[in-house]
Amino acid sequence: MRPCQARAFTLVETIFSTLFISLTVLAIVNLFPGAYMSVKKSELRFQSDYIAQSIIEDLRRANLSLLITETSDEARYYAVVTPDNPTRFEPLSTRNANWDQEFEQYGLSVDDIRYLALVTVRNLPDYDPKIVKGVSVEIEYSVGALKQSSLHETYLHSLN
Amino acid sequence: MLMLLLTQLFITATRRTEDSRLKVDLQQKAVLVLRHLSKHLEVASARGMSATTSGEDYILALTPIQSGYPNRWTTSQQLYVYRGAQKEISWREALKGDFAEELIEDRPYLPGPSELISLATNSTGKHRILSSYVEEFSLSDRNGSKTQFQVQPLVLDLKLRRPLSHSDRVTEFTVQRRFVLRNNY
Repeated sequence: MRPCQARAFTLVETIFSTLFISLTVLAIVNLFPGAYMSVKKSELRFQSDYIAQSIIEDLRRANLSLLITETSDEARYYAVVTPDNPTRFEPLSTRNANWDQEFEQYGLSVDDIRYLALVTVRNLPDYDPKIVKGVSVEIEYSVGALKQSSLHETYLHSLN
Repeated sequence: MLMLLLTQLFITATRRTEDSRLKVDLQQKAVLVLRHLSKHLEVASARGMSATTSGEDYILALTPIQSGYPNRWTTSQQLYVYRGAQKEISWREALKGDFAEELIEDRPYLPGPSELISLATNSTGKHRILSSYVEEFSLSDRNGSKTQFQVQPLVLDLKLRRPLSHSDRVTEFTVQRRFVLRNNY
């Protein structure tokens, strides 16, 4: 009878193969949150852009002289967007340190994501404030602990 | 055992990648509809817009203003046709020969509901399917009317939904976009 020739793995072989497999699995697993976050970020970006554009459209219909006097430099507002009514502009003097409280009062929720819109109306140097004003719309949004924002700026002219 | 684990992981990774692709595809479809409609609304006036609902379907027709010529209208119309049963939205161009009354440049022609329904299938201009998986599509004025556009801003409601790689999971993309028409002719 011939003796059995099979031999077991050495400790070094086992350690290296376990390490190799672990790294491969980790690399694959790491792809999931990365891909998910990229898709989510692009969705949030689209949505925040549409909200900002809708607010700017509402500002085109608004009487901006009610939002800012001709002698002021700028005025800041929360833009309260509701589905069935024109955007409401609530004066903003200082930001609340608690974002969640601000959202509860002035925010908008779309597809379970929370958005907060801030508007700045300003008189522009060298331009007649009766004709042209500058407008910035900043949309802050939150996904879990992650907070981001997008900023849209435009001139509005031929005002009421 | 290890091979089984890796295979399972590979299948899950492939499925999640496919789900991400479907989600991005849905967003792109919504963006295409919005860009297409925005482009036509920029040269539209409430006077030149008509719409009708028929069951689950919604048909919107816009007569664009000629660029550089206020008060002059093009002699074709842009139609947005939403088919509720197919969950599909398409764009069609209706040429002047398609209408019961010939279109003229001096005033916009507003087709009635039955003519709009006919134009939605029989118009002879270019046409293109803009998106499938559309759950909701409508343009309404501030009073909520989808067929009379009297008070601006106009509100576009668009909702897309499609199943993911597992039939019990779906992805949605909802847009509510307001428009103020630049033209008041």
